[in-house]
Amino acid sequence: MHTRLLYFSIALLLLVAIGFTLATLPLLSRAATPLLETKSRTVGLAIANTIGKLVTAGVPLHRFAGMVSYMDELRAHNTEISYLAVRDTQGNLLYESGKATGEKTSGYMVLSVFAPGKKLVAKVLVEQDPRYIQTKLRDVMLDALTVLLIGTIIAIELMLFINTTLLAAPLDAVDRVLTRASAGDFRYRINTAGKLGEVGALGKWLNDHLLEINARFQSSLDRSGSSDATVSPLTLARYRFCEAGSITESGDQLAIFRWPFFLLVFAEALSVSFLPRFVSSFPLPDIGIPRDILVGSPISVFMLTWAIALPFAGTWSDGVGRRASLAAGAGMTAFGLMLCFLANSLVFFLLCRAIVAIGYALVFVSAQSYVTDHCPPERRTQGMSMFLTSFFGGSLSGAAIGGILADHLGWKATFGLSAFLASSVIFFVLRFLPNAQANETRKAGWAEFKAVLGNKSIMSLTLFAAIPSKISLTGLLYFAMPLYLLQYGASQAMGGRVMMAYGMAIILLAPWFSRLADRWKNKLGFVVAGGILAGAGLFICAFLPSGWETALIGVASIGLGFAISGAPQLSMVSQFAQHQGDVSPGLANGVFRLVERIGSALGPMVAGLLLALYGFGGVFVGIGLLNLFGVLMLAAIHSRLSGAKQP
Amino acid sequence: MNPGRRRFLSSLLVAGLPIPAMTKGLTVYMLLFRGVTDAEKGFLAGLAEAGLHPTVIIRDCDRDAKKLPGFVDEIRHLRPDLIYAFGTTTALAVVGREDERTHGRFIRDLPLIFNIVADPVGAGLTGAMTGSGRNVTGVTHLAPLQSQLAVMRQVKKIKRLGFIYSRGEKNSGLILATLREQSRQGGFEVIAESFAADEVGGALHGLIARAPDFLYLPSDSSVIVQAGEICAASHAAGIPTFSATEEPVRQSGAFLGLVTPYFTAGKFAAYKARQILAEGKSPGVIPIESVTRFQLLVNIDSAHRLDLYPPVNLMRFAEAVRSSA
Repeated sequence: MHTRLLYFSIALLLLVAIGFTLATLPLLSRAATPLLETKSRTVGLAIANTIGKLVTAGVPLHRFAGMVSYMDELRAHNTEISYLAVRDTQGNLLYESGKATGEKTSGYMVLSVFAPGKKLVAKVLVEQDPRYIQTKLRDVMLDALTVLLIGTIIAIELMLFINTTLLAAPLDAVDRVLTRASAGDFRYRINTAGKLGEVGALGKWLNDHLLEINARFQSSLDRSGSSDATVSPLTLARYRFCEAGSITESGDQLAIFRWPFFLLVFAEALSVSFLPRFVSSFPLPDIGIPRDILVGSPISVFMLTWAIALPFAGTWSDGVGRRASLAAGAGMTAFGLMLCFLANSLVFFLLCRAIVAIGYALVFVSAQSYVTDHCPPERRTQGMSMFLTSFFGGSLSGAAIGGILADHLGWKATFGLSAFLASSVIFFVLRFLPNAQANETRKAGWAEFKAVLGNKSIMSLTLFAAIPSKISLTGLLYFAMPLYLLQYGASQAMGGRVMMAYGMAIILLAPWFSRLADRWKNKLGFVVAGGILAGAGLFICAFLPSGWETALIGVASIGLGFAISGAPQLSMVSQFAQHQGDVSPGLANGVFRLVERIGSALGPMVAGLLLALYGFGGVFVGIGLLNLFGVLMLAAIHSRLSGAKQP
Repeated sequence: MNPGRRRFLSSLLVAGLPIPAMTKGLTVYMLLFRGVTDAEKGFLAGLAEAGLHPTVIIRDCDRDAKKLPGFVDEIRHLRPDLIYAFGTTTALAVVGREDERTHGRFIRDLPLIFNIVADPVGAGLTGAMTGSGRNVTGVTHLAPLQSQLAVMRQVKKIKRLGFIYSRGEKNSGLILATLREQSRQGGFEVIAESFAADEVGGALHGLIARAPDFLYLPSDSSVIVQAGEICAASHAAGIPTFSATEEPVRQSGAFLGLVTPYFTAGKFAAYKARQILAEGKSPGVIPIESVTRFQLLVNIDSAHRLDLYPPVNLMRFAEAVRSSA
């Protein structure tokens, strides 16, 4: 039911946005026309003035050396102008720059040049590119679409959350309890703690009746004066009763983690877009390290701290329970972000970033482990895809909005907002997340660590699937694609949109593919398929003409590949940990993530090397092959390892 | 300078008439080389604008360096509050090179401002442009050689640069040396010919025969005075001329110049004079500078003659000059 609600809300949102856009577009084009004309006139007048000056000085009109390159330069600085020409009084063409189309679009004009004495000397012709305004309009629409997309993502997450806490989970609890009750099992109660509204009332009503049933049984026992043992075994076998203080059923708690997790990732991502600029504004210590490296250091410190913290965070989370570790992580992140708000020196800022990274690691691992805890194996891939979708959703939205916020509110204010949002996550976690039962604490000794590293299934997955995925992400998406887009002339906005395609592919497609993966019970197959698709897509890119379209295909390929293989990878890790190595899932996740980071770190270096040696074609081919061979290797190893066993 | 004016001022000197006393009671002694130029006019205008009205004594050695020691003696006698010297030769005659320790021959205790000096450091007037540390400061008027070459190159590719100069002029020797350095780095050749005093003809025709791409007229008094003859012959042979100073372009038909207007240089010198006379600063701490903006002059009549026009990007900012009658 809540899916229908979701679709309805999205449809409404889209309708409104599209309507608004369609209404304002004609206004834009109408406003733009006079502006374009003014531009043409300005350029035309500049040329006319120059001609007038030279002619007055005494230079003959046909002896203007370098006139064409002068006009070329004007066109370079005014890209909407496609053609400039100078003709003499007889109409003969003297100088021209660009290509004439003859189309008299807005901005087409002919200016007359007069020498002193009102004598007509020459005529200047200005033509504008008819596609210019279309390009501008298209850019505006794409921007509007981007904002719409982000708004939709946030709205969906929030709605899912409200739905789950108010409707879906409680209703699911009611459903389960009633199902059990109809089978004779009256031990369960519905968790009505903090449940509001109609469903809460329903839950309470049912609980009261269940309590009543149990009380009657108890009293009948008392009246008969016997203990349970004397009641007919048949009766006992069929029906179950127990004291008050029974088992509480809360319903499907899985989706509850999404909103807090999304919000925290979102909060942290707000500062991503302006971090380098923020750091540049500090007085940087003069210790002989190139400035660029210093400016990049907060990001490196963050990545490093995050990576190292992951395994430890994983074990700790296993020990204290997901609720506590999520809350602690959110708290640390909020604290770190608050410190960032106060930061004004590089060293202090590095410290802040480290704190944020530790909190982030806690949240990350806890969320992933939460999914493992609350997901039956047959739905684990879907659970993981929820995790990935929330993550990318928060990451994408945060990065996009953060830049805009920083422009309007300033950097410090944005950090403050991040801190505030992160601290609100604590509230959500403590209020809504189920009381976690602490798992058996498995101490993270070196032995456990080695157990994970020694587990062939996990490590082969990590090395041959996860690391290539990460290399594709950091090497291709973060490193090579921006350079590629820069070189082949895409505007910054276009480049940003192409990059977004990765996250969007995952957000849109991962849930669907993960459902399939669970249904077909073939995680390994999906991992392999994802790798092959990514590899093949990249391979093709090497042979396509250069341009942002090719970049889009490349990005979409790895996005699609990861949408197919990402969630299965994660669910396979926890599965192996639980069934094989007897290793705690938290630790396994942490180690997996840590080793994955090596791939992240290698990515830019690998891509850089390929680029230097073989150019962009080499980058595509190289990383494509890496993906392909990686998963084929994985398939080979696993078929050897498992024999007939279905992964 | 027009003869009428020279005669009037000289007559003042000869007649021994007291030059009218002005309000301030300060005396400025102006020692010139070839009469009153726009530089002096700018200087006097600048002083007036600053509210200074000193008594001005003008002496002109009329391109005869032998007259200079006599004037130097007069300076020693009169002890003016400020000495203004036009050109390198004149300035050196008064204060000497900074490394010359000859006792008593030079004036080292009265402030001197030089104007229209091409290379003060090379000439030995100062050790550094930031300040001489002695009784000397001033204004240089030449655009950096790199900029001058850049302008020439935009008009025509330069493989060979002709350089004409007079042997007596210290400036020119220094500029030639710098130019030769530039030529090594810039991949072109410098062909130089010098002449003595007024005998420019031989050197000129010798240079023209070697067919340079451009003929460079340095800040050299003898060259400037004979610029008309130089340019006419050069242009007749199809060789464009470039002048480092203003007058040849405006008055003698030189084709191109990247110059400081003398008048502006004069006003700048007056600004420094004000610091000495009104603010009591020591000339040794006042930096020696050139005006920062230079003017591009193009003589259109010569352009027609040569059938050569500077490109649009230069002409946009140039002042087009027609040869004065």
